Parts: sequence; C-alpha cells; structure tokens
Amino acid sequence: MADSAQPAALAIADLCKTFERPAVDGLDLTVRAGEFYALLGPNGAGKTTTLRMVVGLLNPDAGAISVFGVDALADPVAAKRMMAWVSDEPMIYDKLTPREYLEFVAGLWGVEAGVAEASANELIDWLGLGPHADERCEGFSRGMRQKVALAGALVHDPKLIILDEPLTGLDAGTARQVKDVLQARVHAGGTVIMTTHILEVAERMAERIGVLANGRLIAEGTLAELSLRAGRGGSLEDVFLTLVAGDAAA
Amino acid sequence: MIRPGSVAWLTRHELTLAWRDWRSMVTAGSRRSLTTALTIIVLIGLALHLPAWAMVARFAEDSVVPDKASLVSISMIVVLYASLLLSQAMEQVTRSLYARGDLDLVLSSPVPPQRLFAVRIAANAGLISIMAVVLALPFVDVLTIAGGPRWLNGIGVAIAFGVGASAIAVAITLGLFRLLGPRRTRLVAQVIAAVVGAGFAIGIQVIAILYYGTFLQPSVVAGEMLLAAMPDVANPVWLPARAILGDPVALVIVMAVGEQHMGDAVGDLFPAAVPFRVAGQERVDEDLRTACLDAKCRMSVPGEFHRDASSQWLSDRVMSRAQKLHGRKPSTMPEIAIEDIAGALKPGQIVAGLDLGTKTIGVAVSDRGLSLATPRPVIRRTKFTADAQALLALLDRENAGAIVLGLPLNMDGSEGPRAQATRAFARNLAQKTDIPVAFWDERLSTVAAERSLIEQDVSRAKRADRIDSAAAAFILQGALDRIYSAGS
Repeated sequence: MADSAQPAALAIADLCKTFERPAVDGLDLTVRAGEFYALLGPNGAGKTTTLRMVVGLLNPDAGAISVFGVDALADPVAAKRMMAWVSDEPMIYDKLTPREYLEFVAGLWGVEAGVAEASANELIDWLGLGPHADERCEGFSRGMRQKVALAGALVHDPKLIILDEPLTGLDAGTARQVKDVLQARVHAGGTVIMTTHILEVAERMAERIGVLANGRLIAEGTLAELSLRAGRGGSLEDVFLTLVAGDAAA
Repeated sequence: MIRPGSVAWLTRHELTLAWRDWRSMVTAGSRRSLTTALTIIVLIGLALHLPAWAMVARFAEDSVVPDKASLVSISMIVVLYASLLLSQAMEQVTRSLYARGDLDLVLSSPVPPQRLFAVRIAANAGLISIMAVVLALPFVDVLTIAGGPRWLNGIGVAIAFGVGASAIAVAITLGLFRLLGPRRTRLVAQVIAAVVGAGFAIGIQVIAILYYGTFLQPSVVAGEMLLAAMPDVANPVWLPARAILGDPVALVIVMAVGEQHMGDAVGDLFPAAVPFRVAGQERVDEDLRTACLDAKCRMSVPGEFHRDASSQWLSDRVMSRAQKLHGRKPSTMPEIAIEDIAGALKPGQIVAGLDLGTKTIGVAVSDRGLSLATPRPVIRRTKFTADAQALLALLDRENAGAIVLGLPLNMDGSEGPRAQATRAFARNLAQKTDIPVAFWDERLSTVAAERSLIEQDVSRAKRADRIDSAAAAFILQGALDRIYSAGS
C-alpha cells in the first residue's frame, strides 16, 4: 500500500440534515481507527440523526461520510459491511431464540454458517446468555434484550460499532457487562462510537469525547483537553455545562 | 445449503417467523398442544361444510354457460370473500412492515433492501393465498361432491384472490404511508382492516336475509329489476364467478390479473416501501399529499435504486411527480418567480446571484437598473450558520432585495443530489432572512454547458472548488435577461 497511514474509521465532513429545523448543521467529525469515541450532547443535539446517516438509514442533505476510506454515500453496501448499528430501542425478534437471532444477523452480513456458529457461541458465553440461549426472546427483560442486540452487532465482527445510548435503562450489572464487552472490543483493535447523555459513561469509557450541540461539534478531546478548553478543572459535567452554555451564548 | 442473505434464505426467515406467530396464536401461547389446535381447526373446517352446503349446494348443477341470476349470487359471495381476504392481508402487511420493527437492523445490513421487501411482500402473498384456499375449501368441497370436478376451479380463483388481496393491501398501505406518514399509517391501516372485516360480517347477514327472503330468486319482481340493472353476462365483472362455475378461460384471466397485481406490487412498489420508517421524520408537505392521491404514482426504476434507499429520494421523486402533475414547482419555502422579482424590489435594491458549491459560494450582484451582473469575492464555506451570516452581511451591504440561486439540474431536467443540496440550503436560509429566493435553472445559462462537460461523469457529487464568482455572474445575468424580457 502506498498510503501507510490507516484511514480514519469515520470521517464526516460538512454534514447537514434539516427536518423542521437544522438537526445536523455542517458537522465535521473524525474518529480514528481503534478508538473508543463518545458523542456527548443534550437531547436534540443531533447525535442520533448523525449516526443514522452514517449507517445509511437517513440520507444527508449535504456533506460527506467516509468509513475506513470508503465513501459511505457512494458505496453504502461496502460501508455497511464494516459497520454494526445498535439503536437505543434495539429490536430483536420475539419468536427467535438468541442463537437463532445471531445466526440471522450473521447471515445478513454474509458470514459463513460455521464461522457464525462459533462466534455466536463465544458471544453467548461471554455475555452470560448461556442459560437462555435456546429460549425465545419474548419473555426477556430489557437488559437481556440489550445484550442479545449487542451480541448481534458483534457476531459479524464489524470494524466499527456504533451504539445509540447503549446503557440507558440497564441495571448496574448489565451495564458493566456491556461496558466490558465494548472495551475488550477496542483492545482487540475495533473502533467503537457511542452516543450518551450520561457524562460519567463518557468520562469513564471513552478515549476521546466529542460534544455536540445544535448539530455542530463544539468541542472535542480527552477529558483533560476539554477541561482545559472550558477553562476550568473538575468533572466532565462542569466542563460540559460550561461548553454548552458558551455555545448558546455565542 | 441455503446461502445466507439470498432470496431463499430471507424467505425461510419470513416463513419461520410467520409459522411461529401462527402457531403461538392457535395454541394460545402453548397452553394447548399443536395437535389439539390442529384437531380443533379440522373440526371447524368440517363443520363449515354445513353452512357451505346451505349456501352454495343449489349452484352445483348450474351449467358452465351461466344465467345472470347465478352470476349475481355467486359474485356477491365472492365480494364478501374478497373483503375478508383484504382485511386479513392489510393486517398481515401492517404487521410485517411495521410491527416487527426490524427495519433498522435489515436496512443497516449489506443486504439489498429491495430483495428483502420483495421477499417480504411475496411471503405475505403466499400466506394470504393459503388462507384463501383454506377458507374456500368447504365451499369447493361441497360443490365438487355435488356437481363434479369442474368446481375445483374455485381453488385457482381463491389463489388469485389471495395474491390480488395482498397486492392491493400493499398498495393501500403504501398510499396511506405517503398520505399520512408512517406513524398514522399503521393505525389507519388497522382501522381499515377492521372496518373491511366488519363489512364482511354484516354482508354475511345481508346475504342470509336475502336468501331466506328469496329476494334473489328470479321469480320475484324486485329480483328481476335488480338483475336488469346488473351488467350484461359478457361483462368482465362476472369473470371470477364464471371461473368458479368452471369456465377455464375465465380462470386463466382471473389468475393472470391476480398475479399481475402482485407483479406490480413486488416489481414496482417495493422500492418505495423502503423508507417506511426511515422517512419517519420527513415532512410531508401539501404537494406531496396531492401527488400521492395519484394512485399510479410509480416510484421506481429498480436499477437506479441503491443508495437512495431513503426518504430524500422518495420525496424528491414524489415532488418531481407533483411537478409533472400540476405543471408547477412544488414549493417548500417562500419562493418567488424570476418574473416577479422586479416588482418585489424596493427602490434602490438590487438582485444577488448565488452559485452554491461545496467549498465556496460564488456571489454576483446586479446594478440598480437590473441589467448587468458583476461578480463579487466568493465566500468560503465553513459551517452553515457561519456561511449564512457572512452571506447575509454581504447581501445587507449590497442592499439586495432578492436572491437568484442557481439550481444545478441534471441534463434531463431531473434533480440530483446537487440540486437537493441547493434546495436544502435555500430552506435553511429562509429561516434566517425574509429576502425572497428565486431558483434559476442553470441549464438556461452558459454556465451549465461549461460545467456539465467537466463534471458530468468525473465527480457528480462534488463541485469543483471554484475560486471566483464567474458562474454566479452567469447565473445572475441569465436571470436579469429574463427579468428584462418579462418587463418589456
């Protein structure tokens, strides 16, 4: 390869999407390969809209999206092959068992049956789904469903995992498990992007944090960098409130 | 071994879900065993032969060349039967397209959405056809036993109606979707299904009353009047009844029409089904509504449909459809016609021309006499809000009273991504200023020829990083010439 530098996991340039009002307004965002990146912002900041455009569920009005160097707007199928999307209200089929669900998702991504089975078994063990792996999902709790959906996102071994509010509504134990799985994923070389409005989550898990307000990135960096930028030390909460207030005043 | 992601594989998935849904329905969530459930179903089926006998046995001896009275009676039963199927089909379509809520999953996967929707619609048609045959069986049985094997034609008619009902259900659901948006569609579709179903129950009563009152017997005067009012025996509305009576030609036609509808639904409508949830947040404006009323609103050129598996594409299609229907541009924002610009300006105001690129905005201004366009320095684009600010400041300095925005249409006049981006920009701008915006078809200025040659195939999506406002001046000059000729 002529280009020794690995392309960014996600590069967004000048992305715009307007519904009744601009939801995403000229957003530039780069997430490096192998990074754990958190998109933080108040409700309505454009986090979900941005990510839905990245995974090909919404068409942007303007702008460019590239995933590991692939133009996601010109070649969505190639881009989708490398990504997994977990929405904040994950859907799993009530009438399938977790094992069948994983087999189906793997199939959607064209994973060979043998390989899919092995990785499904591994994920089932890892997430502690073993005792329920062959029960229909209809009776599952929210935590169980979230775990099955997460396993579905991992079963086709995506290079980039995108999660929308993955920890909302989970009990402490399950949240812990989900965090561990995601972190292990990053250690193994994967890239994870998640949105959250829970500051502690971003603070504890992410290497870099992007703060989104009114459809634009108003600040980005590690917690230390953000603190510096906001001109005060302390917790991410202080920093965040300062940044958002600063943006609203500008 | 079925290849994952293939049509067969997706079909298996659909059928598995349908089978498990059905099974848990008939076993009341596993409280009954499947054997018990099946026994009950068979018994009900057998029991249904009795009312079937009462209703249709008297037709068994009717000849293949039918009299009008038989056609009318049989057709009434067929209409009821069709309404029941339609109600079930709508229920099924709504369930498989919305209630399952798996579109986020499948549309974010690399499987082509059109394949998935084609499979889903076809699976629905298969299931409804099975139901149609099961429903018709007692009647067909009775008639075959009493009148001979020609009555087996009824099975073919049942399949045709099952398939046709599914296709119509898809069309209705999609039509509702375009009229009402996704959330309300689900509710309204279910209401329609319920109403059609209730119509079936009432219709059964009506038929029973008519039979017992021998209203339909030709000997009754009112019956004769009714018969006289009905279309001639050769009329195509009787085709299903004729097919049931054993006319092979009629059967072929009925089945062909059923399949034709399905073909339309799968081959023509399903691409439009893709944005079901995706388009949820999109605004459906008035023109879109009007356009949707045109039932023939064909949405697709399947080959063209890949990335555009989403709302913007759909709404643009519908918009351009609306344009054709009404012979005018559908408006989504306060927009002014080029010809009206001169009248809209206050004394001393000028017109500005804009050429929107991804990296720059070319700007040109007219003189006060609206005769000559002069380029101004380009604005480098950063963020929309910053761009808008810079632009509005400039327009204010120049005392601009109207904006002419170059609309980069494709050579065939259709609107591509660049035109969409331009319209989006105008919409956004409209929220920040009251200055009216007119669109100028760039193909009417020399700029179009010049640009299209370079960009047509090289990089459609990206406009070159222009460093001057020459194109903006071309655009504005074209518009000024038009204003001049309109005023003279």
